[in-house]
Amino acid sequence: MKRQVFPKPHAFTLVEVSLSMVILSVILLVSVQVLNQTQRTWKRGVARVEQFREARMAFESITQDLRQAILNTYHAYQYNTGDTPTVPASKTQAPTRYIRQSELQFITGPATTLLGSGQSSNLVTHSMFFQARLGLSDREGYDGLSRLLCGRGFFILHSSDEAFRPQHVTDMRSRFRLWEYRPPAEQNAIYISKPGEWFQTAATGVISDADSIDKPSHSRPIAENIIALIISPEVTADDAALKSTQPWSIAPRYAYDSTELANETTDNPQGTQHMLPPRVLVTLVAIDESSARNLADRNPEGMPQLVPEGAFTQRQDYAADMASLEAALKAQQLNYRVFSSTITLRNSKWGLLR
Amino acid sequence: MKTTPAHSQSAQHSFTRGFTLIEILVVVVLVGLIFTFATPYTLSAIQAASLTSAGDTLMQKLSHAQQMAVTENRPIGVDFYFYDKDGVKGCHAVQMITYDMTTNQSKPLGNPNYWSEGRVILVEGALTPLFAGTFNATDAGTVTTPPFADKEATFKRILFYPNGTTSLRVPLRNAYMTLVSSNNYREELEEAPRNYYTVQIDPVTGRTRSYRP
Repeated sequence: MKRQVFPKPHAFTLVEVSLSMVILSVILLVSVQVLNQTQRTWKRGVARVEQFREARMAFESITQDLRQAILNTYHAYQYNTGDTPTVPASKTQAPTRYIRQSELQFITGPATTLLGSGQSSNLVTHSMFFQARLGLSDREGYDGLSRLLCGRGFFILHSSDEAFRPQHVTDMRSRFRLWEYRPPAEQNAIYISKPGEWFQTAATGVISDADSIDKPSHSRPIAENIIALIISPEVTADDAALKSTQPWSIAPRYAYDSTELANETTDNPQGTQHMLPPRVLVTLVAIDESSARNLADRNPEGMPQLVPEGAFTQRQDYAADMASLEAALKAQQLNYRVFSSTITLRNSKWGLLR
Repeated sequence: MKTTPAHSQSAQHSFTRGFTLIEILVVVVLVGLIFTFATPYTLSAIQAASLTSAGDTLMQKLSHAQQMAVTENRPIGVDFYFYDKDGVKGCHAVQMITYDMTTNQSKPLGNPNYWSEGRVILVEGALTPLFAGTFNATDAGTVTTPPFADKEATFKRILFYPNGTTSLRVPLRNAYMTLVSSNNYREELEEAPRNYYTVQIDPVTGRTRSYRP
């Protein structure tokens, strides 16, 4: 009989309600955590896309400019074997033979060799300088001249953004950046200097506190967190097969200078001098901003060493060097992407050599 | 008959007893507390999201204009419209335009973008030195075309040229503008608020870069 007394339908007590609230809060807390995590992953994904968008755009502008590289090679009488072989010593001097000649230059190679002094400890991998009809001019009234001959170059420099960061942005970014050397046509020094000298200010002339609108620096940062730029001049596979060599045999150590006498043979005494290579393999390695931030935090002093010592000096080791670079990046848990493409140089007249 | 009173007693107790006022109050207070703690986070998250989307839109507009100028081989501009909206005077909209150098005529390209229905503002002053620089006579002035002419809007224009350069007359270190959430907005904002979206345009290469805290 007493049983009927106890099974009462209870209302919730305070304890029960509180308990359910606690459980609810825990569930909410967990879901917030999950949401937070999702958001963070999303953000990282977006950052990666955004970062590689910049790298992709930079890669496209390298390839687009490179395609237009020009040498304007011509044939001329040779009078001597000095710096100015086409200039006779006197009116009566007889020419010795015809040679290929050009005043312009196409040069690739290790950045430290090409740009030498000054910033050399902060330069990594390769650089490239050439002339192209890019129509860049600061001079009033020159706006319509869209085919003016300009110098152009690309190199990677590790530096801080002290000189160009907005004032209210407090954290300094010491990063690898891809720099574009882009003097306007009226400042193109190719005709007034010796070969190899017209781009010497590229790395030392990066944006400083002196950068002003009337005298802007000719080297501009075009993409952040680009850690390697590898340039390899090549011939077509057919050409290489014809001579039973490798396509990269024209630049086995990545270095190619159109003003230098190189690759000469008995039936081709000038070799590849004053010739644009028919193709150039361009490889760009980019990391994303969160990886770069971690890297900078781990290396507060100076430049982190990402590209293994001695890598990308011999073209035959290209694949192995790429693999070891990728392994090094993976080991440091850096998100990276490799952009690589073989560019055909429109103005290369390589057929002349066959 | 012993059971009846007991039964009726239990019935009385179980069916009439609900929450007491105190219990309900405690629950309401707890719910209120949870809401008070959650609201600022949700609000700031919403504001941060609109700031991000407004900044991303601006970045896209600028780099689209730059690329279009290069590929289509004609100058493309981005107009910034300054007018009074809900008592806040500042830049509230952007618009891409095509520009004819020979006639100085501009034509709108697509629809204008408004900053997230007033939740985001492009601040003027110390955080946006880009607009303090000098502009060509044709690159700034009063808007004469609808819909902004009715709002007595003025505009400032950034032109991207086919060779990759821009019409900006400021050095790179000053070539930036800053978007902030409208709750952080004050006139003559000197110091950056906790959250901002700064867009920098290289006047020489026309490339854009964003800075977030």
